[in-house]
Amino acid sequence: MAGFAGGQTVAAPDFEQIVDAHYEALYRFALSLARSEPSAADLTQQTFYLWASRGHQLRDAAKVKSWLFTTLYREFLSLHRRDSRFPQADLEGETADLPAEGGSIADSIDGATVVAALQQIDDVYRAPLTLFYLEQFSYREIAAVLGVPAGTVMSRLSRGKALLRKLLLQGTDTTRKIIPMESPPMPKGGTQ
Amino acid sequence: MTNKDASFLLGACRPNGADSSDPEFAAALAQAASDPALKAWFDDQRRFDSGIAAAIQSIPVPADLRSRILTGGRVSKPLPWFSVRHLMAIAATLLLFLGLGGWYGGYVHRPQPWQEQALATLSALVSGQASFDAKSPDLSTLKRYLQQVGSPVAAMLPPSLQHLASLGCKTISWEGHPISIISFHGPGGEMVHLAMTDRAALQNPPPEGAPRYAAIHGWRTASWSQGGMAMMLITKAPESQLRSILAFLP
Repeated sequence: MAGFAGGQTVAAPDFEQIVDAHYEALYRFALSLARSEPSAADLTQQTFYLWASRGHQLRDAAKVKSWLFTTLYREFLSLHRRDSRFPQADLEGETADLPAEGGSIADSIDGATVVAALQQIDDVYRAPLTLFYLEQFSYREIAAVLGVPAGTVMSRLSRGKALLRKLLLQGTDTTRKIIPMESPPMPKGGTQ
Repeated sequence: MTNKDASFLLGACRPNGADSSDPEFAAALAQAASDPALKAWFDDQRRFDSGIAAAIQSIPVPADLRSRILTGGRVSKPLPWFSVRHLMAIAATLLLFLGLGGWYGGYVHRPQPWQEQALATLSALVSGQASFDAKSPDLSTLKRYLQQVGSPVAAMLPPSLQHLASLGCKTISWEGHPISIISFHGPGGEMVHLAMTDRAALQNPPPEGAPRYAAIHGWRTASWSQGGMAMMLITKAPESQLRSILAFLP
């Protein structure tokens, strides 16, 4: 199938191949960010429309995946960053040296429960957590997608996982356990 | 390295083993293999991570999403370079003829990227591949919604639009800048859409004052700037309808 890349006829993947390779993971990432299925679908479509309208400018086919995830995240931020209506969770008590036990809670958990718990967590932690669990990016690549230092990704994964585990242990009715805070909790060590 | 340091590093190690050869994790993985307490923690962490990863990767994707993306992508795709050259040649010829005839009305106009973005979204909206963010026959309700989500709304809309029944609105983003779209039932039955964005965000904004009319991808458009806002009125109806709506533009 001919690509949409104008005069670039060399082996760049065509639009349909790119969609098939990435749309499901992009939608799942969007769903964790956008909190509703229609918004996630819109965000995913918007990302591919942007690719279709200007993604051909990207000459390195190996960077398509990063471009798509980065673009989706930026689109989300540009539309929703100012929306601070959602509560943020209390991270107090997450400081044990090796907080263990509870790994089995995830053995038979379903996607909807995980998404519901993720959506209780601030964007700052939710985005790297979702990218981590999609397993398509290393922590360094997650840092590039989100535009933060690699150490910051590690901090956010550490705190985000602790919070996710806590929320899942508390059960699906997590809303009564959430404590609104004035400002997002910052990871220790001075990272962003 | 303390166990706490090691656990901090290992927390970034993907459960599918994709990072097991990353030298950044080598020392921490070796420590996890020899230290019982760290090993117990890491086993538990991996079990947790694997369960969460499997759950997230099993989230169902809407059945029609793929076809909607493919259809919308075709609407959005740029013209091949040779076509652009041909079109430019045709446009230059047209301009020459129109110029020779002493007529200039802005028919031949190269749309700006934000306009392309808005038109692609409109194509998706009217074909049912995208949906409004909010629906209301009351324009003030839609304006209030757009303001609440931080999307631009012009202080002064063309007066004729105030008398049309609104249908819905949508916010899209172009290079990080929000674009608001409000759709109306047009006076002749065809829908009329108003796209607005911050004029300061544009390299080549439409002119202040008299609108510039154009035909783009089967749409009739009128673009102008007013009060720091770039605006584009869009319809499939004849251009005369756009001109009548904008006749009393303040």
